[in-house]
Amino acid sequence: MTSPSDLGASIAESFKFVSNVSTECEALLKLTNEEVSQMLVEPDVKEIHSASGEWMLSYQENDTGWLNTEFAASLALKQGRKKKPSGHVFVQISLMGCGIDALNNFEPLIHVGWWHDPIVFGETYMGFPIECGGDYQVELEEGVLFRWTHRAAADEWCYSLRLTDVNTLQDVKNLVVGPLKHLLLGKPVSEVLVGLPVVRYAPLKSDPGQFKVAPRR
Amino acid sequence: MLQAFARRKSRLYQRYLGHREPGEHKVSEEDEITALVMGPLEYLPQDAQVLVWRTILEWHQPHPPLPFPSTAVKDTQIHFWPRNTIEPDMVVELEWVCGTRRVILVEFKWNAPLSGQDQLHRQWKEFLSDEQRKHAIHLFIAPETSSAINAISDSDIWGGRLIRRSWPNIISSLLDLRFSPHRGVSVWSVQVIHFLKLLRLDGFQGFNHLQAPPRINQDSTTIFFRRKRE
Repeated sequence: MTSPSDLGASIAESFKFVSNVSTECEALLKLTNEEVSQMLVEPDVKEIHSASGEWMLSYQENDTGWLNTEFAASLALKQGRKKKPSGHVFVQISLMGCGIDALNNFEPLIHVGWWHDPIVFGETYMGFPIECGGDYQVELEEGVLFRWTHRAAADEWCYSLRLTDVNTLQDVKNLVVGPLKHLLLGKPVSEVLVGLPVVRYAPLKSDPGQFKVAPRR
Repeated sequence: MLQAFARRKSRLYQRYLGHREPGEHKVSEEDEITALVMGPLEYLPQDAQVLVWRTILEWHQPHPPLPFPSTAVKDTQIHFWPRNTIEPDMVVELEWVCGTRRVILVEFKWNAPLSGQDQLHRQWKEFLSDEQRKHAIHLFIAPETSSAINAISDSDIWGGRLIRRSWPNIISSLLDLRFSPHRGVSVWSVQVIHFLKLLRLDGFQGFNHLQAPPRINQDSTTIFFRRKRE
């Protein structure tokens, strides 16, 4: 039985910890936005994609509105001289909730991807089980990249990282910016993601849309 | 006020983290932070002012655009929120005895996005005269600087003279000024670093340094942390 004083101390320590985690998450999102924007002006990327407007932020609160449990930033990209955006790159940080609810996953995740629409929690966001069916089909490539196909839209994709694997600017470059750039340029997943400490998934045949996470290597 | 924050005499900085007094709706965060951080520069000697701007603009830049000369300073002027058809946050005019002149057009951002996607373009084109633009540098300081990157991507009218600095980057460059022989610069840099850290602007430090709270096992009598007995 935990004593009231131990419980109280644990609550205080936990809230301090949550506050520190949220500060790092906000800083990580800002750093990621800046580095991705910088990547988009590199000559080989700029030939194909360029930013259209500003980063859009979205926050998911817990049920009581006390805590932000998920954060996301999305940036519209346009191709060539077209005025209309062709899609959005996004980074979604999920600390709890459906964004991390893949089977056997107990850790916060970062989802990095390219979707037609920006992340707006409550409407469009990465979460488990993944909604599919109808015109949308989701496939898992090499166990690491979700790829959606839709008969009316260009393909969309997303991969995941464990939050605690990203601790430095170099991690942001190696695990977010680099792979995002190469995937945007159409390089194969086997060249881009395999070998990196990204989350490895396996589909559950008994539960369509749900995926099981492999343990860390 | 920087002194009050440094000596923990005031928590007024919390207004920049979203805290509001009862009945208070609008806080001019960007203007207040601009005045708090940059205001004291106006009281510093001219060569000290130049040292600060040189550090911010040229820190870790092997080939800065329009580098400052090493000759003596002749004149410095700082204008806060100067207005003609458009109002940047600051304009700094520097002149050296060798005749070199620089105009630094400064735009600060805190939480707000740019005022229109072309705000930086308009400042550069409309605020400065053709003559000023020849020796001008546009400095954008924000929590993160993707807006300036996007502005360059939209239309690069600066030719390498739109300088981006995130607030974490400003902290890093000011760390070098803590040991400046100019007493005023040294005191100012220490106080500004402290203030920016209070606003959690010291950038991404990673998660692996965080101390996780102890887990409580409800079914166990194990004590994970124990207070010292009196």
